[in-house]
Formats: sequence, C-alpha cells, structure tokens
Amino acid sequence: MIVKRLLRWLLFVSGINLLFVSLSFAVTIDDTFTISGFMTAGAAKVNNKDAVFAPDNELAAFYEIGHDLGFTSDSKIALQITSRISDKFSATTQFMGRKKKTVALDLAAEWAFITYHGFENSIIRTGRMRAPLFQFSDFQDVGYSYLWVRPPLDVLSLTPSSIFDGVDMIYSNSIGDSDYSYTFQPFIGTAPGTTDIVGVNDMMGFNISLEHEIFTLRFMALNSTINTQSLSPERISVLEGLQEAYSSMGYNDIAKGFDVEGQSGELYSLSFNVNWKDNVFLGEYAHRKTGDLYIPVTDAYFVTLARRIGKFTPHFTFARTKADHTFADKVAAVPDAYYTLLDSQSAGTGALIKKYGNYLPGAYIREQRTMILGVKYEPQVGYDIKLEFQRIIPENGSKGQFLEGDGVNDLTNIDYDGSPVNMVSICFDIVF
Amino acid sequence: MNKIILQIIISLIVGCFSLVCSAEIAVVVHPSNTSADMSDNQVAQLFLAKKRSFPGGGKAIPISQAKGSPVRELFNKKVLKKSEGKLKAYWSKIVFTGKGSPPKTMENDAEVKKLVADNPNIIGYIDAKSVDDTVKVVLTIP
Repeated sequence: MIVKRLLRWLLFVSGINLLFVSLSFAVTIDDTFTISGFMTAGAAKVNNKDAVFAPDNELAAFYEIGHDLGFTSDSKIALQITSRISDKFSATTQFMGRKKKTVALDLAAEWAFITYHGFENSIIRTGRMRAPLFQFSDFQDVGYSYLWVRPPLDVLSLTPSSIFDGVDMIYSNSIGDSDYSYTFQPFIGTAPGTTDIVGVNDMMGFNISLEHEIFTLRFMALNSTINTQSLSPERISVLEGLQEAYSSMGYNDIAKGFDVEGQSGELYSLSFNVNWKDNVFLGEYAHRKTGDLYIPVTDAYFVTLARRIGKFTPHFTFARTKADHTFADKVAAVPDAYYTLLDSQSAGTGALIKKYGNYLPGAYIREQRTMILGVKYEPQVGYDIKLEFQRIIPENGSKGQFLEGDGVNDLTNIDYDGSPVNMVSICFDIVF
Repeated sequence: MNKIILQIIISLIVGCFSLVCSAEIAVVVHPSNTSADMSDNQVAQLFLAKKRSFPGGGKAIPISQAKGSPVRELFNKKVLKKSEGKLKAYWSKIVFTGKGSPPKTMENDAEVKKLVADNPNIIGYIDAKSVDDTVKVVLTIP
C-alpha cells in the first residue's frame, strides 16, 4: 500500500520535474502582468502509532503527520499574479491549493492586496497579507527559499494565524552612505481565526531589521486582542461551562482564565541570519505573552547551522518550546471536594468540569525539544529536493506538538503517552 | 591521449571565457543624476531592493542583464556577491511576499544604455567598453 502510494508520489514528482524543465521562470506579459508560482510535494511519517503531529494554530487544518506515510501535510501549489495598475499602484493575488484534513482540496486566494509605490523609499500595502511576525513568516510556504522541509514550527505556531487583513508600510534605506541597510515595517489589522482556533483583533505591530552583506538582525513586536468568533459552539459552551463552574466554586481567577475574549495577546521575536561564505548560521527567539489564561505564556527558539557543499546543504537545527504552567497548576490545585460538591448538585458535572478544566490548559502547554538533521539538494537553480530526520521530545509531561489521538475536540482520546517521536520527511520544491 | 587533448581544449575554452569575464563592468546612470561615485555595496543595495532611492535622491529603478551573460555573471559575483542560485532563493522570498520583483533584464549593453539615457531613475550595468557620453558612470568594477 505504502509502496504504491510512494510510487505514485514519485511519478507525480518526476512529472512535475519534466514540466518544470520546459517552463521558464516567471511569465511576464507586456510588462504590466507577471505570473509566478511555487510548489512543494512532500511526504512524511512518524514512528509512533498513537502520535499525530499537528501544530496548534491555523496549520492544524493541514498538518496530520501520523504513522502512515502521508503526502498532504507539506504539499501545496501556489500561483501569484501581479498586475501593474498604474505607475504608482499594483495589485497582487496569490492563490494556493492545498489539501485540508476535512476537504479534498482547499483552493483559496491566500492573499490579495494593493501596493502603492509612489514614495521614494517605501511601499504601502493594503488587503489580506502575510503577517510579518517571524523571520520565516513572509515566505513560510515557499519551500525553495529555505533549508528545511518546513520552517521550525516550534516558533511559527506560536500565533493562531499567519495572515492578516490590514495595512502595512515597508520602508527600506541605507544608514547614511554606509554598507548597512535597514527595513522598518509597521502594520495594523485583524487576523481571522480558523475553526476552533482563536483569532485576534486590533493587531498593531512593527518589525525592524538591520542588514549587512553577510548578516541580518531582526526584531518584531505585536500587540493584539484575542477574539473567539472562530471557535465552534461546542468549544464556546465548554469554555462558558468552565467559567460558570469555577466562579461558583469561588475560583474567580480560574474562571477569568477561561474567558479569553477581549484579552490581550502580545508577541515578540528576535532573530539573526548569518551567511558567511558557504556557512549559514541562523536562529530566532520568540515570546508569546498572554494574561493569566488557559492559553499559556510560551517561549520558543531555534538555532540552525548549515554548510553549502556544492549542490548539497546539510543542516542541523535545535529547537525548544517552554510554556508557563502557572494557570494549569492553579486548576490542578483545586481540591476534589469542590468537584464532589458539584456532583452532588448535578450528577456527573463535577467529574466533567475537572476533566475539561485540567485538559484544556494542559493541551496548550506544548513543551518540546526538537532536533532536525537534514539535507537540501539543489541540482539546478529553481528547484530542490530535501530529506530530513527529526526527533521530537515532549517535555514536562506535555504532549508537544502532537494531538492526543484523533483530534483537538476529542478530549477523551489520550493514547499517546508523550514519549519521544522520530519523524522522517522528504519533499520537492520548485519556484517558477 | 584523446582525453588529454580534450581536457586541454576544454581548459582553453574555459580560459578564453574567463578572459571575457574579466572585462571591466561600468555601473551607469542618466547624465543628469546627481549621485556621486557609488560603492559596491550601495549599488548592491539598489539591485537587491534593500534601498529604493539614489544616494543623491530620486527613486532608483535597477535594470539587469540576461541570465547567462558574462557581464551579469561578473556583476552577480563581484557586486551582489551571490550565485544565480542564491539570487533565485533571495528573490523568491521577496516576490512571494509581494514586497518587490527582481530587476527587469535587458538583452545587451545597447538596450541598457538606451533605457538609462532615456530615464533619470534607471541604473544599469554594462561592459566598460560600451560606455559613451549618453550615460554617467558611478562605479567601475575591475
């Protein structure tokens, strides 16, 4: 079965390969219309029957790397059309096709925005765009532009959504007449949530980066307000039930922690990228700051070392996610007597509240260490093949980026015990 | 024996090619451009969309030469300090975030010169031998 699917995948890749050879890079039609695109065909699996890799943000809709070799998590195809409306305005739309867990193929306009080019050193964009939160956010889908099969999700999955609707400005200049240049990008907007993942309003942030020939340093800060519009009615009723129950027990701070609507969410990231001769050294540290909520304060970082050796670039990455346990500990410390009291008022309620009250904060603590060893092979400019091995070690009793059993809403399936998981991934990327 | 002869022929061809490659490159702008001489890095900043205006003011529109042309290869190597592959990865980051697009490419020195002579915002590069008074040289790369 797996062999058959693998063969089919290889045939698909070689077909695309042939197609690619006959394709030129970007198609420019009469100077006002440019079509470009990229594609990734990937396959991945883990070695643990009970563990399903799925980051806890919008990517959860696509990622489902389990014990059977899967071909859909990393695979995608995108087409970008840019048209120059006038000297000062252009319009960009990017369509992306990707298999969703629940839908055969999700083909949607990922972004659509208008760019104003009228200023000397800056551009202004408005519409739906990628939120420039992390070093790799902007091009997280363009596999060809980075080393891994997927950029370290420990960091990328700290925010619920990677796109936003709003306005940004990108100002680039050199520092005087020096060899240093910098980019300043303020942005403002809202990020839509996806099914059962919170969204954010009133997001306001900026990033600033300093660049030299061999290095880039970047800092980003974001402030936003959490909204729950995208949560399912079931999830909302669980959250409301918990608020009611804990406030009736007199635990108002716990009740408040399950009331995330309107609470503030902040995010900071600091990154560096050094490209010296054939050596690459890069990394990022990110801090997600929420109040005293069931969605915990979380820190994540990664560092990567790589070296180009002809057409091969072997690389090694270490990543880690640490979360704050304060809220989970507070819930765990509630004496059983309170739940028994609830049970005596309405049979079964206490047990249910205890289960969900402890499960939810626990499920959001996704602490883990990840080691990635991989190689990117680039036979020709414009496409590559990547192979990588990952070892993911959940820490402090959490399950890391693995769903427990079958899904985020299925709170009862807890077959996966949080033991270390090995993952193997392979992909083929092109840009055209 | 045949192999040795073939190797000699190949190295001769490569040798001639690198001679062609070692020609000087001139980075040129419109004669009315007030920018003084520019450094390698200042030129690279414009060609990599890290800066969008000339040191002396005014929007800068870089124009490149066709892929595979010796003058482009030398410019990539000496000024941008990136191979064609690295350049492709660099631009794929910028293009697919809608932040910009790589410089348009022209087929030869004459086409670049014509554009530069026509438009004060354009900056291009040509073989130093092709320089005439329709353009102003801001950097020469040996």
